[in-house]
Amino acid sequence: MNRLAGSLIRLYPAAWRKRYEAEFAAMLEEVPQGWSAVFDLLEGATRMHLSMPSFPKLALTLSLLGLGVSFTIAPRYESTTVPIYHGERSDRQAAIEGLQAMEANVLSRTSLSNLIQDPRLNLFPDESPSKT
Amino acid sequence: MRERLVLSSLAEGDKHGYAMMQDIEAFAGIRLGPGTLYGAITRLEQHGWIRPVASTDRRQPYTITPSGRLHLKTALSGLQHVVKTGLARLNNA
Repeated sequence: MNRLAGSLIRLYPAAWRKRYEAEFAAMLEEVPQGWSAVFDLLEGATRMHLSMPSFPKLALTLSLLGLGVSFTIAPRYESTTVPIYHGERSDRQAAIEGLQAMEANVLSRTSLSNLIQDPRLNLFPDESPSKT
Repeated sequence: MRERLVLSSLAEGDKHGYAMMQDIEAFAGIRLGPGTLYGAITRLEQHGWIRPVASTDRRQPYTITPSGRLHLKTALSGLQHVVKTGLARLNNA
């Protein structure tokens, strides 16, 4: 158990060990060993990691911050269509032109505006005009 | 709480970690684990409330600083007020 407790010091942050390892190890030689001491060391190492600045902690903090910010930004909707042409080869050029015209029509301001304002889709409920 | 126990132990005189554990168990009935004790020692040293003293032993003794004494006094005075008030209300109930 003594060896186990001694090896658990390695779980502490390197910066902390640099300062306290020697005296901490000396104290562990005196402390009666048991599972409670092992669990206490595990808890102590965890707390010490959380209390010291480190890159993983910074990354986690920024990720959580980003997640929080994402909820404050209005949602964006995206859809994808894959048209499959089954006509004759000779009609191909006409089909391409037809698709291009359809694309221009779908992506026109009028079409997109209609989609955004369509009450059945309810795309941006927070930005809809309030009822007075 | 743990920090107050360590400061109260050192208020009596300089001690190394294991001596603090034994003293705290004797006067408070609380057995601090080694990880818990050194977590408290780390925080107290960061605040400047305790500092290590020279030793030829591998064991490192610590002493309470003047600001540590002041902090302990303030904390215990606040606690004393809560204890007095609680006991008075219990007796009046």
